Amino acid sequence: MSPAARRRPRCAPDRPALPVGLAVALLLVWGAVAHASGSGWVQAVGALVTGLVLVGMLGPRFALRRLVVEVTDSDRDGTAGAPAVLELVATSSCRVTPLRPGGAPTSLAARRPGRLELAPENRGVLSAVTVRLSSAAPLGLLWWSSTRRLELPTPLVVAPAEEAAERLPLAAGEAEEAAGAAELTDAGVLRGVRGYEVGDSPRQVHWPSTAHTGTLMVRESETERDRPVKVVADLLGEVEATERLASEAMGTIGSLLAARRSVILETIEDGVVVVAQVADARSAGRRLARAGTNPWADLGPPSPGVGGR
Amino acid sequence: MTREQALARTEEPEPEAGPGAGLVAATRLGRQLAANLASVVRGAEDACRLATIAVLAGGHLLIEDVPGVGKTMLAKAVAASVGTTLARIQGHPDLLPSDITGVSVFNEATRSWEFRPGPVFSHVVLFDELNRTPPRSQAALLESMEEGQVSADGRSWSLPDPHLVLATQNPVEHAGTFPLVVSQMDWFLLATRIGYPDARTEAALAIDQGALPMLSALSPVASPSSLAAAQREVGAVHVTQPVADYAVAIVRASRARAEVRLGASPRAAIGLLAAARAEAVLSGRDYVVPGDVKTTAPAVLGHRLVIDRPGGSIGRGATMVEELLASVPAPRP
Amino acid sequence: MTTLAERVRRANAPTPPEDSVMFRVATTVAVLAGILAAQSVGELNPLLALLATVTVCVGMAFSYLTRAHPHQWVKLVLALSVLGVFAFFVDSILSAAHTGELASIEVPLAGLFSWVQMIHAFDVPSRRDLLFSLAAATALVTIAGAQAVSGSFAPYVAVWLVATLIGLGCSWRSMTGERRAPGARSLLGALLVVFLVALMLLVVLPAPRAARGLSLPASLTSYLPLVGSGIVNGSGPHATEPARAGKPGGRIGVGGYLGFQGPLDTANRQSLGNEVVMRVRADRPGYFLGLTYDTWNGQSWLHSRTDRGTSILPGGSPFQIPARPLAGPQGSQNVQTFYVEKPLPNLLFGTSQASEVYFPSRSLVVGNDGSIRTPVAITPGTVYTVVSVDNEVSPATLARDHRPIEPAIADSPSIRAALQLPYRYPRVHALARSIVRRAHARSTEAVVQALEGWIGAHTHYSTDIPPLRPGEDAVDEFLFGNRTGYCEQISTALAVMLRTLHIPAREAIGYVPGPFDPLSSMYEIQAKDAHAWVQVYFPGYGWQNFDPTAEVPLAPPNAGMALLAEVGRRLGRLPWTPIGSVAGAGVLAAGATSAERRRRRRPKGWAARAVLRLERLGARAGEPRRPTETLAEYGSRLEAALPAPHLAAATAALERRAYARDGGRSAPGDADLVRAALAAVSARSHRLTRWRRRAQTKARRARS
Repeated sequence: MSPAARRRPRCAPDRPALPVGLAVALLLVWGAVAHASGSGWVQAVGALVTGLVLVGMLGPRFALRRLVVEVTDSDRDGTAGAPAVLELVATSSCRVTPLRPGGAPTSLAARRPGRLELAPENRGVLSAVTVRLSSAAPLGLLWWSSTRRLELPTPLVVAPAEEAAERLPLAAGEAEEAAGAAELTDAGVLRGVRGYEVGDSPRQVHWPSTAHTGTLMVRESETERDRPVKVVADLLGEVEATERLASEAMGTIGSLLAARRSVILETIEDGVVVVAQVADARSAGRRLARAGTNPWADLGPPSPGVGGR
Repeated sequence: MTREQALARTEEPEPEAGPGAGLVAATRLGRQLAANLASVVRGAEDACRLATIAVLAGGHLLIEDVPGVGKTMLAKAVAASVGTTLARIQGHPDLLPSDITGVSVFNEATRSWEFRPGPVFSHVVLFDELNRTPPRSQAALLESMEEGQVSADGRSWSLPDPHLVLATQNPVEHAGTFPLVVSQMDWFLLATRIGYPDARTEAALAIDQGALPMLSALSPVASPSSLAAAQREVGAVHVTQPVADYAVAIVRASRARAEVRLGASPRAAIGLLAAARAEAVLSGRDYVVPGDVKTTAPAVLGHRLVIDRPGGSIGRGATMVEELLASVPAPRP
Repeated sequence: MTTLAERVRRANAPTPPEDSVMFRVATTVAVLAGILAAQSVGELNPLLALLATVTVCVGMAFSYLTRAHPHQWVKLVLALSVLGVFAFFVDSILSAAHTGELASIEVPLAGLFSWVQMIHAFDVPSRRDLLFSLAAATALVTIAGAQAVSGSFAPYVAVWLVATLIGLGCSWRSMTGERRAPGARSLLGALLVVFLVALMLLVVLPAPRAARGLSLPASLTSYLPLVGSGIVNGSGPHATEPARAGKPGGRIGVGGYLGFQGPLDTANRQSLGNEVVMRVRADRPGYFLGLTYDTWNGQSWLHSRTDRGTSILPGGSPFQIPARPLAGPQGSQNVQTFYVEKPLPNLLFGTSQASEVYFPSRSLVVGNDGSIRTPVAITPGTVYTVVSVDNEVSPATLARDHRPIEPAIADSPSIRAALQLPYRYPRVHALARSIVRRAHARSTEAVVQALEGWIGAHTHYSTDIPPLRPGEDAVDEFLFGNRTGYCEQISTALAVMLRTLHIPAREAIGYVPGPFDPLSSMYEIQAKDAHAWVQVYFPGYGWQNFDPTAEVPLAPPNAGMALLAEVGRRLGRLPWTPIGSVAGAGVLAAGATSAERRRRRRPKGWAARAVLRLERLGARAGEPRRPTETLAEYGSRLEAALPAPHLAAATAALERRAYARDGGRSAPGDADLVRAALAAVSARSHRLTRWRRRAQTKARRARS
């Protein structure tokens, strides 16, 4: 752990100029009134107002330092550009603004689970998020904020967004046909025969073997379509370039799967080349998320001692 | 390497005075066994330790890895160290169940059917390349593992005690295999990979022409009876409620994961605590601490999960269990 | 850049309605506290206060019911009404300026704020509006505080403070979307901090002094013209005949001091009550002089012929008072504002030399005896301000700078009157001389001190003395008779003794400052604070005050200290035995409950406590235990990270304790091992935090 990361997160007031200026102006006016009227009660009320202002302005700092926010649950899968949801619990009321990845700010009540929507813009594996915690406890006069890193209980795997593939390795018209083409055709090389199953086309029945075995047999043929397509996704490199590539790969795989082609995906995950078939879009997304350079790897180690666990 | 040398290499402290003599003997046996194995299968201390745990816990061990990394050598070393005979079955597609359990033959002299016990009737059974065996034969072996007995000709034949099955298998991605079904996987207490040795160890192995010379020099550290006593000692190791709860929590967490198509069974929890007990004995303790559970969990649970993730079947399971462990809170004393 | 129109639109954009009932109730209570506080100090008339109370409650209820759909026409009507109220306010300010009674802007201001509150109460749908109401309530309380003169204002402030705190707490809750009411514990904590900060400020800050506004306060509640230029004792209908010689037991209880009306008859016996007759806010406390007497006839003080003269000061407020003869050098200004509580003589008081008087009448009458008389009766509620130029100098200066009286001055009528005696006082003269000789007094100052000292040592103070018999000399009777008396007797004795020694002296009467009220920072002058003292002429320094009677509290106390002392005094008066027993029982019960709760929550056994402590220490050193980490793993990690010796062994011992059969009773050295390891961790974590802090500062400096 580097010394920089061990540093406690800094708390700072948000845009303090206006409230602090107002408070100072208020206290100056009060001082003038107390001086001019010469009344001890004005001074007493002013002292109480000063106390209120002090508590209101400095209280959040202490509340923030004592604040512990934990991610109790998180989505396991997400898609780049689409919202993913975390469930958070905080020890006291606060506002959470996701910084990296970005997302919508949300308010948390004390010790009540709340939801935080993230909008990760890149694919990858998120094991932590960087958020800004803000609090104005206990009087709501001034917001203070600090940046924390929250560990996710389970990594959030962000699949790339699906982008329409430009170069589909499909025969012309295959994609359109794929949707309705449940039945097998005669085309292709005969591979063998098998027992008839409900739904097989009568045209597929292989009469010689049926006659031979006494039960209905159908032809099985191997066509171009039955051969798996291998998609190679080399996602090492710059984030933007790999993101586009990953989206394209995702789109390609999606189209291929929609066309009922079996797809083998080759990626480099953790420095190891992985070649494996992908069953569905979800597992393809997960593999692409893990592949290559993780754009979210730079979130750094957790802030110690402050509960951003 | 002699036994004394092997002992000198062990790094754990000697078991402290206090626990009963049975525990001391069991710990010593376990450590000597681990050292013995490590001297043969060099560069795979983890696998050796897990094998020792399997022996002490009386469970069966599944070793999965590519050929040539010493799976068979490990199994042989176990047999040699325990001082018993080793029956070896080589898995191949034509293997019949009777090749494993034995066959009844007609004795002309007595004019009766006589049961000829198969290789499974020995203390240590090495089953090489289990997944090249057709499911029928696998089932025969697994039945014997499950029941501790073999049924043939309407009679039951008890297997010797202790009985240890060491099975090896090739990673399922390789061609020409019959993957084990989940229920069968469950009967292995532990599953481990051996992994490639590092460059230096590999070079040393090449110079020494493999591990065979070491194997022949191995001297037994236990007898079947002393092993049985050690296993009884392991069974008597104390488990407190929080530790048991922790083990169960890990097992249950495996079922809650989205990526896991099938989580670990209740039998897995029993196995987890059995392995943890053995781990405790190896550490010279007569009680289980959460660390024991945590250490053994990947090996105990990894092969029992059916998951949706690329990678080797056992390797990815173990990785998943590591992730699980990073999310299940450890008990606080 | 955003255009103005856009900004206005954004500022007027509808904000989400505030659903918290508690927030609304707290705000209403704070506003009502402000209105009632203003009423209590007389800035609002009771009818308006009642109207405001009802209207605010109704308005708050109305705006709660319509919070989701505020009516636009209501907004319009309210805006128009606010404009009207403001116009009325400006008009009343202008008319006050026209009549010269700009003194008290607080009354119309309080009226304005009450009206604004009433109108605004109908349009508080959202949090922002409620916060505005809270701010206005604060302003109202502050305005009321400017007029508050006694501790009875405290309850309003307390209610306002608590309501504001609760309101702000609710506002914070509503900011985070939390529905629950703010926690009592956090509110109490905030209240405590606020209170401590306020107390600290009051202790540290100087007490506010007299008003320093553009126009000093002066007002009359009723205009009752008086005939002639004489002094009318304001006790009016309460006045009864004073006790005279031969009338046994003749003591009367009236507020007004008979001496003001003249002559000052020392045969009168008067008992003055505790009631507050005036409150004074002054830069410095001092003797508030009413008038002086220069002629003594053996029983009464009278005015000499020259002293009796008066002159009329025409014009209007403020009046410039001409300097009196032999006034001495001009010292520092002392601004004093008098708030009259009881009917008083038509005399204006002030320290030493009044130079300027703010009083709402067309003219004043200035007497040669130093009195400033008003042509109207001084009734309760009258307020006037006197700017004095003090000429008091320290006794040391007087003693050092001793010179004879210049012949020209010695011949002046006032000096001659100040040496007048009705007859020779041989016994008194002899006594005075012997006292002076015994004290080796050379300077006038030393002589006065010596005589004061003798009087202090040989006479007793009592207001309960027998009436003077006819023909008896009051001084003789006091010095050689019963040697008991009060201020009149004591000061007359000093004056006569000084006159026998040819030192000019005269009798002065007025008020001494009473107890100081730290919250209103006013001196509360009670009827019994009417006083008589002696003025002695010092060449070059004029008439100087000497009070032989008693020690009077003159030092202006610091507001905070005085507040603490006052709190202590008031607390001391509480019935402590029952309070103490009840509070003690409560504390015991609370302690027992919390101890029981803590005992239940607190882990049992030293091992579990050691684990807790280890986790705390580790967290402080920046290495908190991860929840998924077992104790042994944590121990090894800490041992490597800190480093801390034997920690792994210690955690192993702790685990044995926790998980072994029978709690690992077989290893007795564990506790010591754990203790030693924890001590090492503690030392290490302390050093680490300190080191880390230093490194941080260094890094920050390097960055900047």
